[in-house]
Amino acid sequence: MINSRTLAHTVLKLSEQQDAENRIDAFFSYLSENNLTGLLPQMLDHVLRLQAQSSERETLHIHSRYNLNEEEISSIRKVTGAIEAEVSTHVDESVIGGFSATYNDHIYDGSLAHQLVTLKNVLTR
Amino acid sequence: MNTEALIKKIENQISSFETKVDVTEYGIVQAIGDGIARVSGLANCKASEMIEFENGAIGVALNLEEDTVGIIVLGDYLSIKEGDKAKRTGEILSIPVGNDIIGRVVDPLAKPIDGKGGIKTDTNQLMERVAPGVMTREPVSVPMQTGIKVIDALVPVGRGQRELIIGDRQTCKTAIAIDTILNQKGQNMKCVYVAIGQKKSKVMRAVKALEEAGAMDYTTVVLAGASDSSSLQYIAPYAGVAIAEYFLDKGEDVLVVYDDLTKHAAAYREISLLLRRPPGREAYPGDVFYLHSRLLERACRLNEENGGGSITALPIIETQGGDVSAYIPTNVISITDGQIFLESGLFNKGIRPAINVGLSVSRVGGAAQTKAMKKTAGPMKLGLAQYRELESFAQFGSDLDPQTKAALDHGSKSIELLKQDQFSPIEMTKQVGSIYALNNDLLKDIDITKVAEWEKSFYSFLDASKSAVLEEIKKGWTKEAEASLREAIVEFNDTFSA
Repeated sequence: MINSRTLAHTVLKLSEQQDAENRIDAFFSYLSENNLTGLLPQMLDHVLRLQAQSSERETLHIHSRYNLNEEEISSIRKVTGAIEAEVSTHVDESVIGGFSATYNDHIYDGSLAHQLVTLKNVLTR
Repeated sequence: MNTEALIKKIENQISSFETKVDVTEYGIVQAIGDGIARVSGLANCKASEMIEFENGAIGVALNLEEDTVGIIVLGDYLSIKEGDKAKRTGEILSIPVGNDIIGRVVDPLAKPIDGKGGIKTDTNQLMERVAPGVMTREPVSVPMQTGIKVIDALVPVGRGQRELIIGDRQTCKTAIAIDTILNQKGQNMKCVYVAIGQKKSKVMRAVKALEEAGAMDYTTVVLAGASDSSSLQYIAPYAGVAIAEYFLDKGEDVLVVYDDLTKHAAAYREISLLLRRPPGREAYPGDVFYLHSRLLERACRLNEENGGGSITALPIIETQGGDVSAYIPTNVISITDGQIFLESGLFNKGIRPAINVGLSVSRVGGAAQTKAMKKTAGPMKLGLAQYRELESFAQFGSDLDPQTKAALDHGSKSIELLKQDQFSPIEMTKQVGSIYALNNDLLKDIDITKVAEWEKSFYSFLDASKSAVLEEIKKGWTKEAEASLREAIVEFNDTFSA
C-alpha cells in the first residue's frame, strides 16, 4: 500500500538522481493521475523530518564535561572522520570526563562515564 | 582468597584496563508499537543481532529491510519513544549460562525470576545454533525411562529422540512431561522445562511438584508466561535448547520439554504479522515449519568423539477437538520421531494416562528399549489391538467362545494394569515384573477390580523381599532372571489370593 512515508522516501531518492527535476515532475503527475495528491501535506511533513534527521546525522555532536577549545575539537574531528562537518558542542555533566560524539550513524564514546561502566563490567564478569 | 590477594587482583585488572574511544553504530527509532520497533540507520546490522535501546531494553533484529530494520523488543518497550537511539551491540542473540542455572527458574534471557539471587555464569551460549551434522551423531540406542508404564512398554523413548506429546486441552500432557522429569532422578540426566504462554500459576504448581520430589536438583525452568510479550515467548524454546546445549557440550544427557509449541507458533505468527511478513495458511508465516524444524533438529545423540552427550526433546502440541490434521500438529508430527497421542474420551473413561495406544508411535525408541522390556511387552501392542476389535463385537452378543472371552479378559486387564497415577513414576524393573505377569497369564486368577491392588502389593513385595530379582533384571534379561521373576510372581500370587 502506498502511504505518505513511502512517497517521502521516494521523492528524496529521486531528488538525488540525475535529471532530478524531470523525474520529480513525473512523480507529481503520477500522484495526480492516481488521486494521491491528498497525501502531499503528510508527505511534506515526512520530507522535512527526514531532512532534519539527515542533517542531524551529518553534524558532529560533541558532549563533554566542559567547553572544548579548537585544538580539542580538531582532534575529535580526526578521530571521527568528520573533517568538514558542522560541529555542535554540548556541555554534559554525566560525561564526567573525556568526550562522547555522534556523527554519521556512529557513536564515538571516549567518556570517563563509559569507561567506568566498562571497567565495572570487567570486574563483575 | 585473602583481602590482599583480592586487592592485587583488582589493581592488576585496573592497570591492564585499556582506555580507548568506543565506536558503535546507532539508528533512530522511526516507529514503535506492540513490541516491534522500526529503526532507520543501522546499515551494517546483522540478522539476529542484539540491539540496545536508550532505556536499556534489548531487542533482536529480525527484518533487515532497505531503509529500516524491524526489531523485536525483549523487555520494556513502553518507554521507548520515536526518535530514540538504538545501538548495535555486534553480538548475536545469546544468553549467559553456567552450572548454577540448574535448580533455577529463569526468563528467556536467562535472568533469574525465582528471587534466589543472581546466577554465576561462565559462558555465553548462542540461542540460534546450527544443529549437529550427520557425522557427529550416533543412532538412538540408550533408553530414556519415563517411569510411565504405557510409554516405556509401548512407545519407548530413547536418549536423543524427539517424541511429541499431542492431545486436546485437559488431557494431562504436561503431567506426562513432569512425571518424566521426576523419573530422571538418579538417571544422570539434566532437565530443562520450557513453559511458553502458560499461566504462571500453573507453572508454579509444576515447579512446586518438582521441588517437593527433589527434581529441581537437576532441572531448570525457562518461563515465558501468558502475560509476557510474544517476543519473549518466541525466543523461550531457543533459550531452553541453548541451556541444554551447554550441558551437551560437556558430554551430558539432557531432556528438554517444550510446553507448548502451539502457543509458540501463535507468538511467532503475531510477531510476523506485526513485522508485515506475508501471511500464509491459518495466517502463519511461510517459515513456520522451519521455526520448529530448526529447534527440534538440535535434539541429538552425539558420538563418543564429540562428547557422547544427548538432547532428548519432548515437544507438546495442543489440538482442538482431537484434530491432528491441523497445520501446526501435522508439521510437528512430521518433524518428530513419533508421538504420544492423548485422547479426552479415554481421559473421561478414567483411563489415565489417556494414551491412545493405536495412534501413538515411537519410530526409533524400539532400538533403545531394554531387552527385558522388549521381551515382556512385545506381545502387548498386538493384544491391545485385538482387544479393541473384539470389544465392539462383545457389545452385541453374550455367547462368546472361550478364546474370545480370554482375549477380552486379557485386554481389559492390560488396560487396567497400564493405568497409573500422576507423580508416581515406576522403575523399569518393576514395570517388567507386572507386565511379565500379565502377558504370561499369571494374572488370570486375579479379578479385574483387584488388578491395581495386586500391582501395588506386588511392588511392595518385590522391594521388601525380592530386590535380588530386580537387580538381576536390571543387569539383563536371561533365562535365570526370567525364572526367578516367574517364581517371585507365583510366590506372591499365593499370598495375594490367600
